[in-house]
Amino acid sequence: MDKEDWKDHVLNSLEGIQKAIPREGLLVDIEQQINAAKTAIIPMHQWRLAAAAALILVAANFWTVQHLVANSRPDSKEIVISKVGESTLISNYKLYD
Amino acid sequence: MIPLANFQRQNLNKKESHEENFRLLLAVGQGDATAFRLLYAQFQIPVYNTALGYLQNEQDAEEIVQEVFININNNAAKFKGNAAVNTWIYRITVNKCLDVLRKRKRNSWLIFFSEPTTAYAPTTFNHPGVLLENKEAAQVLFKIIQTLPDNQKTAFILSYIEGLPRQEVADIMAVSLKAVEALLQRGKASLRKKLDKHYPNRRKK
Repeated sequence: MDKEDWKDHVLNSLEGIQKAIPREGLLVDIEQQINAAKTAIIPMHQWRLAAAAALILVAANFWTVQHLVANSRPDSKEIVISKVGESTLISNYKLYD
Repeated sequence: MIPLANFQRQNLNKKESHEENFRLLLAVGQGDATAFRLLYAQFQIPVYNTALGYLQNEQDAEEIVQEVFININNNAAKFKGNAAVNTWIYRITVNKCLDVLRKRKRNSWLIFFSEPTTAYAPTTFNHPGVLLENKEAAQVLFKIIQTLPDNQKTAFILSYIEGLPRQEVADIMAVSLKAVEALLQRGKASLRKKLDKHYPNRRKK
């Protein structure tokens, strides 16, 4: 076949092309994937509930820690007394006077 | 020439089918499984054949069909009707195919280091729908279609493999009718030039 005729033959080789048909089970596969994706998605209201629970937990922890710190802090009177006591002890090193 | 009455009837049918597709898509957006199956029945063959034209591999084309219909299901509710439903579906398909081709190109160097499952090795493609007497010539054509630039490739595949009217190709590609004609002309000229290398009797001369 002449070169130019051959080129025409190649370029026109798709004339009368039939449509290919995809595999039959493809729709089932697609539906399964869609359903699997649906179950994996966590709805917005669940996210909100989880966020609210986390917020309550953080607030409760904060309140507890704050209370603990406040209760364990010594009174200002106690500090003065202990300081006085310390100075008395330090001023006299002669134990057998 | 198409008689005016036939032309009007065709246009009316086209409009009705666009409206029907739009209704189906709205129903898909509301989670209607039957509408999804109807839409799949209507578009599975165009999507599969377009993907086959680009990717020249049946498994890859099936993967594109899956991705396209999952995308349709996820985005049906967001469809605003700016384009016809079939234009929208073709656009999704074309974009997904071009993404796969770009990925193949990026990973082509991996072929030397990895297994054939991770890197794409181009092979001769036999389209199942090509007439028996054209099989050999079509193999050559499919091989050189891959070398065309993306826009020429898209115009060629949609026009000659999908057999879409030029105006529909223009709508899908979001270009003018003239631009599609120019792309096809340039594409054909480029293919003709590239065919020189593949002429079977060139050494005999």
